[in-house]
Amino acid sequence: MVRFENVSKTYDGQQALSGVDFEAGRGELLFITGASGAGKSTLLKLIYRAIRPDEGTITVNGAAINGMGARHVPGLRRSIGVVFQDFRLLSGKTIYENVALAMRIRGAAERALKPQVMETLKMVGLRHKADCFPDTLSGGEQQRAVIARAIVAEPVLLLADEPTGNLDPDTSAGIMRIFKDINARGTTVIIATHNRDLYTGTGRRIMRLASGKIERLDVG
Amino acid sequence: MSHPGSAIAGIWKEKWINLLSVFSIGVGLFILLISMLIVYNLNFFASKLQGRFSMTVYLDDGISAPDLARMQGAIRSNPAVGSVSYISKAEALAELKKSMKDSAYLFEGLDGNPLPASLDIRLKRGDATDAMVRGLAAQIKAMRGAVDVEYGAKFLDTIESVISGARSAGLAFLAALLGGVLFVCYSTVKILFYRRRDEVETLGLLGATAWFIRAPFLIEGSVLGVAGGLLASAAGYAVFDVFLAGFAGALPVFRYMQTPVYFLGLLPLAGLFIGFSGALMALGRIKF
Ligand SMILES: Nc1ncnc2c1ncn2[C@@H]1O[C@H](COP(=O)(O)OP(=O)(O)OP(=O)(O)O)[C@@H](O)[C@H]1O
Ligand SMILES: [Mg+2]
Repeated sequence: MVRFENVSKTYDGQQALSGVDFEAGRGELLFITGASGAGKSTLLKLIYRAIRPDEGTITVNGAAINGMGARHVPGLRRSIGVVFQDFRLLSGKTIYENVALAMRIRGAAERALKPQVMETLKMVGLRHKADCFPDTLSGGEQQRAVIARAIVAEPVLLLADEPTGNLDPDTSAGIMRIFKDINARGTTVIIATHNRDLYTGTGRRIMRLASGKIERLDVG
Repeated sequence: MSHPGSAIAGIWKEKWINLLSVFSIGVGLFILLISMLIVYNLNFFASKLQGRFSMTVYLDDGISAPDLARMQGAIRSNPAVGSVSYISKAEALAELKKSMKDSAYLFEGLDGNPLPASLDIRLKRGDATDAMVRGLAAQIKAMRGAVDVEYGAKFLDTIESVISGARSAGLAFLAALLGGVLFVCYSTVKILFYRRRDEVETLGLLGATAWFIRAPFLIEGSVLGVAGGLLASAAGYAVFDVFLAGFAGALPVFRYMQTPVYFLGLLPLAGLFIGFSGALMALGRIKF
């Protein structure tokens, strides 16, 4: 589903990733871990083409995205659900509208929208906050809203950047269960996290990054 | 919230900027309306003047019927001529008496008729150039039986050139105004877009197409334009209705002023078009 071949990325001459090679298979649930600044977010951003590599080839869902023309980028991004580390909720829209937006962008019919959005909000425990604006939500609630937006349209690939950074252990476990469910239904899931609890005992692959390089691959 | 919904929310969120820009667009379109009226009226007066363009040939009392017929024939065959009518001595006198009936005593004791018969020539609108009129006058003057030819070509030409100069200036001013209003729409949408660039970036990251991102801004630009147009229409209506009605009684100049009401309907349409185009220009290419 996702393949990196010798991918490097620098920001203003400062190395963020160097020579990264890995592949996440279709239907896999893969963890990426590593210290703060190791390059986890950079790696995920490369996948949804928020940034472009200096070197190497990135293949997503069978398409080489390096040379991809600008007009194909929206299509690529619509096949991916992203839990942004910095949330990116639209402050002028309610939680319901923020989540519905992901469906609208994908051209969902207005009628099909409501049940699916409400169902997803229920999954993350935010049904009662549907009509609230993001600013009035706690950090953890906002994070769950972002998760709802990422999964509502059932993408083929889900990228979660520190999805439990603001959540207590119980809520984190709940969110992890949702990710596993989605993964069980066929979605490839890549989770970047410091949170050991998420991956220990899962039996899934864990890719450890250190200073922009893959340090080692483990199994949780 | 669909596109119109988020456009309305967007307009409300930035209501002061939007109000200001609606007001500027309204003022611009109102001035546009006034200059359109001026150009329209200049055109109208110019066409009236051309319609009145005429020439009078004073005839010798002793002109023979064949000479008169030949002269009329020559005049009729000239391409600049619309119509020719013969005014007899008696008709000329009757006309004069009618126009001076308060001073009828002047005609008492008048025996005989001192007025000459004449040919009244109406020239075709627009078709009659100065050179053609001059040529025709010279041609007639040379014919037997013609005493004098009178025409106001010089004077009318001057007025006409003044009017056409004013008309060109008016059109240039109109174009500049349109450009100005377009610029207001352009900058407003540019500001709105800039203020919401985070949101735009997020939409892009979520996979929105360029048109999905543009849509609410295009709607906003169009709404601003239409609102400005309606404002200008309302002001224009007030001017037509109140101001001109009052002045028309007092100043004769305004009595002949043409106020085509459909201009008022054109303003919101113009606003829509300008608002949409301005927004489109402001958005340009959306980068991913
Ligand atoms: N936009 C940017 N401009 C310049 N440097 C950047 C930028 N984004 C990231 N970096 C740098 O690249 C390196 C990797 O950053 P990245 O965000 O990928 O780390 P991370 O592993 O996600 O860290 P964290 O766990 O804190 O989220 C860091 O040294 C960071 O300072
Ligand atoms: Mg990060």
